[in-house]
Amino acid sequence: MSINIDKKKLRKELFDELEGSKSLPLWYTIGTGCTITYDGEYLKVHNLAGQYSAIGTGFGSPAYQATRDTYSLLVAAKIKAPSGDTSIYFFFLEPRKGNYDNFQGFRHDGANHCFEFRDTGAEEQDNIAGQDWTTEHAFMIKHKKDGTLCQGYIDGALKAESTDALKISDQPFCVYVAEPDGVARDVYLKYPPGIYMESG
Amino acid sequence: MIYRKIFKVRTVGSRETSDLRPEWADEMPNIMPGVSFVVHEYDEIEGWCICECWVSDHPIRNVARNMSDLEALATEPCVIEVLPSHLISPPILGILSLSGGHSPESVDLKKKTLVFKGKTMAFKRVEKNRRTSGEEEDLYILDEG
Repeated sequence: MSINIDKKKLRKELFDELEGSKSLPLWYTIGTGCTITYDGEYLKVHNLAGQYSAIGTGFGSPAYQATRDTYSLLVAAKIKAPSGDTSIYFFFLEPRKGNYDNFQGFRHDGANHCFEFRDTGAEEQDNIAGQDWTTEHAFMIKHKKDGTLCQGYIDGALKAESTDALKISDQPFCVYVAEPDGVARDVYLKYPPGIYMESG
Repeated sequence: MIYRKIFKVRTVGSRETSDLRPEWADEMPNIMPGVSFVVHEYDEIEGWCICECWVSDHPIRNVARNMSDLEALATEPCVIEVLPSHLISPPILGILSLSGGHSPESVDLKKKTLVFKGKTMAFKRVEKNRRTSGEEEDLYILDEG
């Protein structure tokens, strides 16, 4: 599948044209009978029950780590899941796909919209009330390299934060979106996720 | 036990630049590590937000904290006032848990205790949870509130 992305528009929408921000290359995990298609505006993940389709991407933070002592990693994406609020991993970081013990990100756990912070399986869950993720929202995760701070933003505003260093796992991470957790549903991703490294 | 407190706090940044946040957000690791919070409401025009902070004295936490720590936060310069409640404050704001897959060194289901990183700690109940790998795991709920 060939996708023509307007990267300038992506940066404007996700990072307000911050110099040095990038869009991330994509790869897919597609369950049996599931599809991932592009309609010119959204990547659509069509997932069937019992399958675990997802969109993933990697990034090059190790090169950046070598040159900076302190920085924060920012990743962002625009996502919607119109078919309802069942369990879903919306937008998250993991060192590798399926390494849930070191997960950081947005999830609906079947009962609550939340942000989960995990390190070696020890987990903090912050429940975020008053949410509707069936319409499009911009999600952003800010993760400080020293592991003392992780923040979850929705539509440009901070919603959840942890400062518990024992629940914030270490970089580097890969970025994942739109994993419907074995549930039959469609999830839409607008543009590939964007990434930005912020000093301090 | 989990302790909670609601604060009206001055904000910095803006939605336009994708960095609207409570003034203490980036400095919280220095002000009081071990505090987590959720923001229920923003008023970008007046420059305030409603921020519900929570802490726990459970040993799984990097720093055990209690209500007196939250009360001390009220003296931070960015705090406008302490509020008794908020419309969308959820019944359960924070949950501390431990994945059963690889994490506990041992579990005693009768006594509801487990050993993690050499520390023995109590848990409240066990739930089933699906990992991002698709496998189901036991999730030991240590503290919630």
